[in-house]
Amino acid sequence: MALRNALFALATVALVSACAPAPSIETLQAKNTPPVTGATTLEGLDFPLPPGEWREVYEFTKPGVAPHAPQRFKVLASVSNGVIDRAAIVYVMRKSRFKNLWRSFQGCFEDGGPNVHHVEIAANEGGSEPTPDPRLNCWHVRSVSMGRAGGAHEAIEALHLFAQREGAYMPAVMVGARFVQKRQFDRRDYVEYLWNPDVLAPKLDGVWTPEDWRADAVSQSAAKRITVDRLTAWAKEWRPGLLGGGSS
Amino acid sequence: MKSLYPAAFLLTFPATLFAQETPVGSAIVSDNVVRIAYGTTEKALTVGDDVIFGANISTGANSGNVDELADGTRLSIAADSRILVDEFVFDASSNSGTLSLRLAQGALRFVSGRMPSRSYEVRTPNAYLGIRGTSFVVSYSPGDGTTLYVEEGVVEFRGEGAGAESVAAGFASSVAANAAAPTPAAPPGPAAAAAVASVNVSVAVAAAPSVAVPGQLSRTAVNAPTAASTAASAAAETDDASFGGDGNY
Repeated sequence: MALRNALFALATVALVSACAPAPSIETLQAKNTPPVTGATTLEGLDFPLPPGEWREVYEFTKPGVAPHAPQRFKVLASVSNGVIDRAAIVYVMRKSRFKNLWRSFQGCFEDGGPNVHHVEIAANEGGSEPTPDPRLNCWHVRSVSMGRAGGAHEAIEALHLFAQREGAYMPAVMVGARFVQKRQFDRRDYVEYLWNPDVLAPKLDGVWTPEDWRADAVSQSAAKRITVDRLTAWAKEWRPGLLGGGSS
Repeated sequence: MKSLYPAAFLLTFPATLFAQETPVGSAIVSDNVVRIAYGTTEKALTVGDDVIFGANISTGANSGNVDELADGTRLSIAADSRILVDEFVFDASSNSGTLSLRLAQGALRFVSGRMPSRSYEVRTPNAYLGIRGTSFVVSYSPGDGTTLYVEEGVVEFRGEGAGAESVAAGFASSVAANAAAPTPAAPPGPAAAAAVASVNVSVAVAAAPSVAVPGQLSRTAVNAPTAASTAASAAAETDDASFGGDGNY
């Protein structure tokens, strides 16, 4: 029995792993994929994009903890003068079983965190037990490490590979806003808009590291505070455009 | 016969006679609260609108504006700023003329156009910038005075007293609110960095990237190998919640 369970587990791992191949230059979106403007769509949901042309970088499915709640990811970037100046990471967790039962989302960062600069939580229902149709709607401004040491998330690794292929500058840290909501009963959707701080507030003697954009470091720099404050203001204005379709 | 830009004749007439009608350029980015005031008119300045000779252009909190003038000069205006186009003469056939503007408050990136560099000047309430090059950021507040950071070329920087400082690309200087002369040119400090950030971020969140940060991106690209090695050694995001994979569904 134990052996059968182990084999089943191995088979499951093999199955879901096959759904999430590590990104490679070859698996990125083709170099000549037409740029996107205005909005992008994932799992039937629309996500507006800030002005300008966006390049689709990579799309993949990550199994998550259980196979009935996989996450579909789409990674986009904008490139200007050889620099990746913005990235957009969109992902949707869509359930195929117990579709309307959800717990609260721990990533709403109620307690903040070392890389979180601003938090707003309109709703994060459900608690620690599955709850029918809980409401979820939160967003935060945060810094995200683009570091690769120890193994980067597929979305970040894809951005690095894209930059490598394009010969573009990819920063070691990005700053922006992530919006999380549940517009449909069976899926939780996330979109993160990230800016390259080396462009917004250039470091005077090099390039920024993730540590440079921790909340405590931001509080000690006028240039960083200006950047975070402006991105926060942008996010407040941007948020209504994401609420189309309503949150369940 | 030379084809003079319409504002050219303004050199010989009081500006107030013509300030209500004469366009000298147009807005190419406007985000949130951007206003233009001239004569008895005061209205929102939106993308495609004319920038009028003699107009005050102001931005509100969390706002940004980029204007392109007829000679190709590009003005990127940060939030909470106010400028006035004092003088603009441009002869398109010879790319000659003059441009003078005032930064009354806030921060501005100035990228000069096709006229000879000495055709341009920028003033703040306590400083004068004679432009010998193409791109710089200047900020002014009553409390801090004027801060200058030169991105490309050279700027002759003066206060209200004697003495000028020639500030080259990559260097900064300031004229404090209670000072008459600029500080020696030096690598930029926090004030210059804040000025650059205020302009960049005000524009970049609203604009297509190609108009967001002229001049700055090309130098940033030089640091690409440094960024790549920094990313290679920086710790990756390992928190499952970072990208939704907290399993708490």
